[in-house]
Amino acid sequence: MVMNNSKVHDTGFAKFTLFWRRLSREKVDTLLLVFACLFVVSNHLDSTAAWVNSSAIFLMLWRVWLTFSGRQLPSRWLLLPIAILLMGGIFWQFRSFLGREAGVAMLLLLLSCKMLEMHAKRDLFVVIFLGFFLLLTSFLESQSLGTAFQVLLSSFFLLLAQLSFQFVEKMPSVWVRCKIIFKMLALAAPLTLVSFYLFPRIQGPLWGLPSDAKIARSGLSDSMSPGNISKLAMSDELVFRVKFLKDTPAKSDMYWRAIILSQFDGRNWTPSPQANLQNSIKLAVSGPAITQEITLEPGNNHYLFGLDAVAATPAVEDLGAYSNAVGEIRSKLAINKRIRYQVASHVRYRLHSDIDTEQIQLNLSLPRDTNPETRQFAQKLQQSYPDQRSRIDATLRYFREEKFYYTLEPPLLGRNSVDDFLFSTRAGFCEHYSSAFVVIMRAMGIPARVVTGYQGGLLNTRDGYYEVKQSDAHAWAEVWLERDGWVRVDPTAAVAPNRILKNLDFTQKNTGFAGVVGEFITQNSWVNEARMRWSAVNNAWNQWVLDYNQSKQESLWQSLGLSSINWERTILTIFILGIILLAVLAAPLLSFKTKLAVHDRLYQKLCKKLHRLGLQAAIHEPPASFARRIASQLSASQKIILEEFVAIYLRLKYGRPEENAHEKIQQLSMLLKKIK
Amino acid sequence: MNVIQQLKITWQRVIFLEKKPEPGEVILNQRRVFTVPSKPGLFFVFMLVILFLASTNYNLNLGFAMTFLLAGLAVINALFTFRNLAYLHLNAGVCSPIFAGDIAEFPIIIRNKHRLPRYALHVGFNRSDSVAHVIDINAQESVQLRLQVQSQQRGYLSIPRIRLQTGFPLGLLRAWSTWLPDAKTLVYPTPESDPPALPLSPSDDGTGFQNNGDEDFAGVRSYQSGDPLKHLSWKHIARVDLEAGGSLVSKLFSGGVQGEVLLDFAALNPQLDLELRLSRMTAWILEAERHGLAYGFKLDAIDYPPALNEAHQSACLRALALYAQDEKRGANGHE
Repeated sequence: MVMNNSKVHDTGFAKFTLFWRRLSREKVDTLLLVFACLFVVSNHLDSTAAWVNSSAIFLMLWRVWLTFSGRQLPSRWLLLPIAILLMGGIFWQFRSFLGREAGVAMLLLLLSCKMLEMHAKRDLFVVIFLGFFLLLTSFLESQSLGTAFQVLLSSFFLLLAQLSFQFVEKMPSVWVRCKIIFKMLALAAPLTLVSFYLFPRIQGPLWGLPSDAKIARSGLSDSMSPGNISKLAMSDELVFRVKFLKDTPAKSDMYWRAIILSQFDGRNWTPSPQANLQNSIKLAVSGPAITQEITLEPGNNHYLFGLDAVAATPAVEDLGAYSNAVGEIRSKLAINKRIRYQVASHVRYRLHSDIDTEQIQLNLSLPRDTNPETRQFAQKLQQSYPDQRSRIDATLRYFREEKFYYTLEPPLLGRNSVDDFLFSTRAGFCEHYSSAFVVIMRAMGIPARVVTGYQGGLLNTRDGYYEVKQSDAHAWAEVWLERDGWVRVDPTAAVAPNRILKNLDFTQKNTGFAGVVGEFITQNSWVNEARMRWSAVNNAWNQWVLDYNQSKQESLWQSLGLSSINWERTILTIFILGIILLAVLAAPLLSFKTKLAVHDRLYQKLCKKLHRLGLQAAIHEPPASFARRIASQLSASQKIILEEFVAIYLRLKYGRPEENAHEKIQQLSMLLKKIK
Repeated sequence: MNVIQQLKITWQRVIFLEKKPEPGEVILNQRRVFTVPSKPGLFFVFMLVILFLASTNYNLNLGFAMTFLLAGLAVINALFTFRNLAYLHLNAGVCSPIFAGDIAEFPIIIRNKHRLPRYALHVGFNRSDSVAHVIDINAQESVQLRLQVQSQQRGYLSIPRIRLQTGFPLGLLRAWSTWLPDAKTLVYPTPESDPPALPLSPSDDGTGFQNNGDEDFAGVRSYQSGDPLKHLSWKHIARVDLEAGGSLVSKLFSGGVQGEVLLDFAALNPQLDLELRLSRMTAWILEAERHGLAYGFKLDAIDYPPALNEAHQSACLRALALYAQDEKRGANGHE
């Protein structure tokens, strides 16, 4: 009786734990899904409005709380006003439901609202598929390696949640489930790789991009006022990468021209109106050409770069590159994707050795009634020195010998900015120096202009690419001399020669803790090494993943012996390749052959041998009776061998596991050999 | 039968191999497992198209990579789904006979001889209204489950076509296979719920239901059609108000053990419904077994001498179950 009772209790308890487990398993599944969705939201934290993110997270945490406390999901009458309120918020902020940012925000809120309205299995798929779509939109912000990894991780959790909801009765451990997803991802990887490179692409966009698809990025602007470039100096953002195919120029020759500024209103420098004219430049070159391959990051502007001076306009696929009258290279279309082009330059050149009077006048003009002290100073110099060269040298000497400071945080300048800079503050950045220098030149009657662009670049010793970052932005001057044309003069070099020979980091004297850390990072060799490695990986990522486009696909096809013109053959080849790949992947997955035990295999061999002798075992015939039946047809010795074989075989197959099984098997194969 | 139905049947025969019952073990080989996208699967394909278009439009190379990864996963998922169902070994066990109206339980043994555990297999009948069992089978193990069929009438009850289905692992596909085992069970007639007293063997005068034990009056009960007239308990009937829904009352005798019971189908009133007569015979057999009375059995040409054992009982019940069934045999089956 007592025994019986305890049994009843046991089963009751077992039932209870089973019930509890099943209940909590659904909860665990739900929590996993919420976790995966939180991961998806975390991809958008930077790019989406804070209130959108916090609402989404709040709604999901609400769902977590409901799950934990075992409460019912909120009714439609509570959820509907919340959803309407959130949609109203989106409209209030974006004035539209269309467009990229509004769309992403809406999807995020939709996803989190759906989490509170999950009733059927169908809703689960809605949530998961929405999650995947949101993951794709995070690539609109960034396609870096880090983002790719984050998205991959989020996809993993989404898939894990999707898988977990498929189990009904038995639920393997999280680790087993993870292994299933790992395995599936690993098997899908080769398919992904092949389709990524071979699946026919169409050059986008398919329809007009909404205006906010292009986000203004930091970079050079086409006017210069004090503070413009120093703002960039803090940015570590990459502008372009250069690979010198043959000769590498000296660091002091690495000037990457972007914008020429000829008009000055006393404070701002702006381009000359001629810059819009398309024209060929007059360039006489000497010395060897330096060929570079430039990988330009998308900046949503029209500037193309090349080492000064570019001999011929680079051919850039369907962007419409041209050179204008003042010698800048421009693209007709904004650069919205990463492009790669080759360009040949000459370090020794003569640019526009003859220009017309209109040009000379333009590059001599100064606003009236500004900077009187500078004009006086210039006139004094003009009187003291006989020729233009010596006047230029004298000005540079002035910069060098007087107490000028190179700093990113110069004091504010008054209305006569150049006077203030030259004679009172004497602290500034390249834009101050170049501006002041050009003003002095013009006051002395030498045609001069400001050039902005980038200077220098950091060699990545890992992959041999030079990286030019926004912090390499620079402003210098060009003066026009008869016969020599436009000659580059860099007044900043007179003040901070390091700026030209090395990189900006060295000229910066940071203070406080940030300075110490900065110093540590730039000076420490292993940190530098790691940084270079990382940058090289990023570069490879760009070259092999992000820059892959339709034209590269075509050249890949051609290298495979396919041409894009012959569509039928191309598609057929890709199809066949896909099938072969799939077969290779599927074969181990779908092979269901059960492995025979060694003794069974030996018995099969025996049967085959006997079959060749004309003795066949029937399918239903057990080994012993088969041996007995054919005994009469064998010689006496063969008969003994066969009987021994069968006896050992039956013992191995049906008897207790023996310690010397290995020897027995050897014995079997010995006996097998003896049967003839 | 219209053309569309005919086509559907042909389609099921040719493509899905839904043919005759299969005896013995069935292995779900490549040819027997079919895979089509489920509703979420179609939705998934739609999502892939959207992802592809978005990637093209915004020139997102990683978007392409993600789209292709998901598409690759869908392909791998197809292999996994197929693999979750394929190469199972199926066997149908024997279902013991039941009485009409009872639920037949067909034992089904599903064996997984491979090293791959199978999850979330839905096993049920190939009908839309069938509720499926969900089972998991570990590597190199087997699972036995009982599929229940409600019996309607006596005769043979064949097992309906069984469907095994799975959406594991991602639920984007539906892999299924159907199987019609060659399994049937015998359905005996429903025993009459309140049958008349057991008939004893005919006396020498051959008048039939002469009850040797009528001295041992055991009580009364309401009249059942077929009760002998001389058993009516007039005393009780006189007190019954027929208008108020009362009925005739028969006297009940606890029969003496000295007589032998003879269950003769021909002796029953031929005006009674055939099924009712068979039901009554069934009930009598059960009653005789319960009371430990040996009973003889006569049904048309069948004439079993009196006996009292399991084999005798099954033979009699079997004869009743199959009586006049030959021409409409299998009418109870679903195929």
